Amino acid sequence: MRVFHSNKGSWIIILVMALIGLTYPLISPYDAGDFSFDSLVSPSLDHLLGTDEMGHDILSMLLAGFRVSIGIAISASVLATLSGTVLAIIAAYYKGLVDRIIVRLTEVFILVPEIVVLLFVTAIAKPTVYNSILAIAFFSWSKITRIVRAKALSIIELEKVQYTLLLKGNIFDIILKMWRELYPAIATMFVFQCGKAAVYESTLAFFGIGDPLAKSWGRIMRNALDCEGIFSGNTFLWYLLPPILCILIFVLAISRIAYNVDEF
Amino acid sequence: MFCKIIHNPRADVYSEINQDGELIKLGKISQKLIVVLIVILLSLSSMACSTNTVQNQSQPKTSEEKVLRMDEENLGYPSVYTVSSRGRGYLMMSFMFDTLTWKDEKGVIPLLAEKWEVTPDQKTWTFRLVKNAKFTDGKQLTAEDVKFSFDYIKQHPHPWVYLNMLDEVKVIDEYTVQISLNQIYAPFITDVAGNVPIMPKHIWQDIKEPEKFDTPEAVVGSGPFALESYDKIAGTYVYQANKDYFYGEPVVDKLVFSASQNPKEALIKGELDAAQRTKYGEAIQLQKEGKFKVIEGPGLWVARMYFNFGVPEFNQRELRQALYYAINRQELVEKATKNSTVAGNPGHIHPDSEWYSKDVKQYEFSPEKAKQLLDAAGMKDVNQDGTRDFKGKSMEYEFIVTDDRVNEAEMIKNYCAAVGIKITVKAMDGQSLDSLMKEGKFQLALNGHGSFGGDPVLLARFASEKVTQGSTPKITTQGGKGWSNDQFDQLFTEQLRENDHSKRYQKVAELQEIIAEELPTLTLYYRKITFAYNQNKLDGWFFTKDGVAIAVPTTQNKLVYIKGQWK
Repeated sequence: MRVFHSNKGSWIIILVMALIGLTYPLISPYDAGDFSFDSLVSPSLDHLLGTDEMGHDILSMLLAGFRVSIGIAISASVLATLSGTVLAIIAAYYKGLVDRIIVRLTEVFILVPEIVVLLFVTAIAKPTVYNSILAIAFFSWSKITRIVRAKALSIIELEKVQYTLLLKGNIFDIILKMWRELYPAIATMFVFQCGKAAVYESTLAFFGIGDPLAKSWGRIMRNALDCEGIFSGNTFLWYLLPPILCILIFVLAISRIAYNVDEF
Repeated sequence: MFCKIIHNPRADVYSEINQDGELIKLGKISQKLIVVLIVILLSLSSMACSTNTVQNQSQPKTSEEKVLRMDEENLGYPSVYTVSSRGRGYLMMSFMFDTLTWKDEKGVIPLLAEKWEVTPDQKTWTFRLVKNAKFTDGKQLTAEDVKFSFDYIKQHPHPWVYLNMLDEVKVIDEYTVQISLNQIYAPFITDVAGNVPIMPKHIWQDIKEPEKFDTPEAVVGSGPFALESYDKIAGTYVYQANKDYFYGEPVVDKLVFSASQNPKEALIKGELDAAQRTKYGEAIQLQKEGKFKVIEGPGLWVARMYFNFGVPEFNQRELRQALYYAINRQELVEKATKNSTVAGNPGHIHPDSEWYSKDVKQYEFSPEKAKQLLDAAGMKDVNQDGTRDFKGKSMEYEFIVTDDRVNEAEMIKNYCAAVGIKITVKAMDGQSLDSLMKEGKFQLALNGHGSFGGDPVLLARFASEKVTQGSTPKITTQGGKGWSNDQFDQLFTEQLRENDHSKRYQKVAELQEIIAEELPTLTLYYRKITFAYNQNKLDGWFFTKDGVAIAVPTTQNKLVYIKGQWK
């Protein structure tokens, strides 16, 4: 597992973050939805990161954000990468008409402006976290398909794959043969996708799509920016900065893993 | 940082990885982190401070020209039928179109009609017009135009003024017009004579589809201003003073309205001379700093929780009452609206109104009472999942709100959860919310509107479709099945025909009792209204008694631009 050793720091960060996300109800000082505290309190022992304008404990919201944001990012990426890869390999394997249809489809998705898709989703979807995940995956798979397909097209020409084809191997045999070559591209795309999904999630929160009350980092940032006079005092230091740092550390750690992932 | 796939996917992924590889090889993560952090912080803080620059392209600035710039959203082309049906839309149009009567800070005043009288049966009104009113194309305004305007609006229904009480309009002589009604209509002078815009007959008589009439001719009126330009996309309005205005020459030469994302900053920077849409807290801060004058007006704007009566259980009064008991209105006002509002009255009418009645059923915050009511109504948690059930269906509802009221929605969600009713909040922009409500495609909604003061005809919002008399601007109407109550309908019609003020008050008080008991809507809070302006430009701003036109709670009364003082 060279990939682990060369990125020990990043892996530890991601694992710790995921762990916080899994166990936050145990470590969170208060319930994230509790607004019974005084509003805009500065950090103290009771509220390590103070409270927001409505009286939520900011630390509790931030911890809840680990589950919501990382959860959405990873589930959406798994979904997008999985569907994107499957379609890419189908395109590369069957070629011809199937390939052309899939390529056209990806072009449509790449051409359609995201905002239209976002509005479409708001208009019809029920406001839940699951729908946010589906929405993010829905317009991310096309890019993965394009890239994996390109890679697969070149790999399928390799001798060992051609050999399997000659032996009338089915699509699963081909996938197995191609896996080693394909893996770096897919892993890279997946990890990039995680970072991207985290950013998309905050964008969605900004557009008010999805559960507007889910305490994600994006939502906290939006609330902080909407808060009157956040920059006139020091409030932004414990209100706005923590969620930004969380997203930043998450995305950076993941990018670093993404870069080295192909050394596996 | 993330890949943009354009056309050649293969080339793209490599460049992406290469680029990123170099990035990471360049230096240690920690240094990069700091740099990225600083960049993000800087961009965020500049975002917070940036304001939409005021667009006043079509405006050559000479030192003598008296230009007043204000913030306003895009309300459509300001002709009679093309402007937004929101109250502020009507006012954008009222700068060009006059009415027979108008209002100032004290009450009704004569405008195009210099005097009027009514027959003892209260059904025939005779108006004497002023003789010096002219349209901006030079033609004289006469009784013919008045008759034409009333007839035209009766023929082409207008979202702002309804004329179903109108029987006949007769021209007596060039400057006298007689209007007869088929029923006594108590708010006639304020809501009808004060709102029917007098349009030039010679322009409008051939117009068959007024909703599409948006040429320069469509904005020719007799008012204190003429439209110089309107930018449909940016929503910028430039009005030019009508020097020959019969009521007096405007003290400003030009009015410019444009959208501003942060009116407070724009006011401080001098991009605006007056700010209508500052947040309450910002206005108070401006007032404390003392550089600008801030006035606070009556909150003729109400936030309500709407029920879709197509959902069977919402027809159960106990459920509506339970929800009202469950919601802590005072906490909502303090936390979600940061004290920029006043808690709602169960009887709906604003406590400052002369029609307010305090003898109605009160709902203090009491989750216990809410639970008792729900239990008694058979809404119990049968399957023990934490949410009550009604006729085998779990009581879960979708609650639609605008993006800027998510905090309120969160609080209401928690209050409801505490009594066992589950709510999912869906946030969207105002226009989507309005249209979903209009189509009846909602279960619960949080929305609000102005046109909420003055004559109690505003209670027409709760009268059923059977009531044809009396109406109020349809702004945030709710589609689908509505609430109806025969006793309410009956009383509502009666009070409209009642001319004796104290008798009418009695009836209006009874109407409020019914509302408080039945709760066709949950009145959550009334917004306080502020207006901040640079007193070194124009002073003399005021809030109109009962709101401008049909209770529009703003300072945009055209009289300000005539009676105000330019510094």
